Amino acid sequence: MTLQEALPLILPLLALQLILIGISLWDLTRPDRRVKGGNKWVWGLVIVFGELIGPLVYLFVGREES
Amino acid sequence: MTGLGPLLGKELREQWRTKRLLVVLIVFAAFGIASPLLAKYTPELIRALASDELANAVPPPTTADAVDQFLKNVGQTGVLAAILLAMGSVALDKERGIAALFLTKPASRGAYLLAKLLAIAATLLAGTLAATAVGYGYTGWLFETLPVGGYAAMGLLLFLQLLVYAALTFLGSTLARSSLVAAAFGIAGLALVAFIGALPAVGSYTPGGLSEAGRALALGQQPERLIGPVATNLATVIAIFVVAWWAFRRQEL
Repeated sequence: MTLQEALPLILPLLALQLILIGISLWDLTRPDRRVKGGNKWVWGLVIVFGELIGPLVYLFVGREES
Repeated sequence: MTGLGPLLGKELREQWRTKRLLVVLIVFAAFGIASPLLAKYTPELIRALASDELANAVPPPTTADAVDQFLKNVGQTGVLAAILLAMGSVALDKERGIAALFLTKPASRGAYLLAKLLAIAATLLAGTLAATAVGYGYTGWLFETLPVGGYAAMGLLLFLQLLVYAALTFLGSTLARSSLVAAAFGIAGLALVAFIGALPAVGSYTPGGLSEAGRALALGQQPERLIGPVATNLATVIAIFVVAWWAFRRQEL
């Protein structure tokens, strides 16, 4: 299978991953957002490098709810 | 169950407002897409990278591999989501003193707990259905079209499986004042269920047994056991809720 043949299959997956990272980073960078441990950079790394699970963990555990 | 309707509405809005529902939908859908893809192309990748001898030993992918990957990936992510969804549901409210505030309104403690569990169940159901729908489409695209009823039934059995783990964590969240303790309770429950699942006589009645039945249904086969495992797991969820309710009624908030 060539890359051109594989792209239509993989693109929706990449799009979902990017949407998930985008939602999480948008939430993280809100000025009023407080996070567990207080360090937003660490959570940023979790979101970006945690594949699908990173944003899930951030949005469920990382936020201090107001 | 006084006040169940408004409390459930509030919990469902909360799932949406905190983006939990959206994130669960996206993550489950992503694993629904990834599973048939992995089943199809992992052998091809191994063949391309491995020596000729090893490459010849890799069997060609089958539809059953796609279903197995789906059950494994969505099941594992689902368990994580179930624990994350349920761990703070009651414990965080108690920690912040919000639970006592809610219960000063005309709402019973049973309704408060049931609304929380139903909202968790609704989020897990939405995620499982999203994964099932895209998993079905991709499996049909990459392998062969499976019976839609059987595949949908597999999705529902997977949901019931996840609901058991969510209920166990929910019980921990009701008993404890910390969401971390609740998560530990859920993980201990997971280990206990895995241990019981390894016992020959009762294994098929545990949540893991539902996967076996779901696999058979998705592939258009007759499962060895279906009604017994479904009834046992449903009864387990109800029993866990009753224990949580009984304990919550006696708690000082």
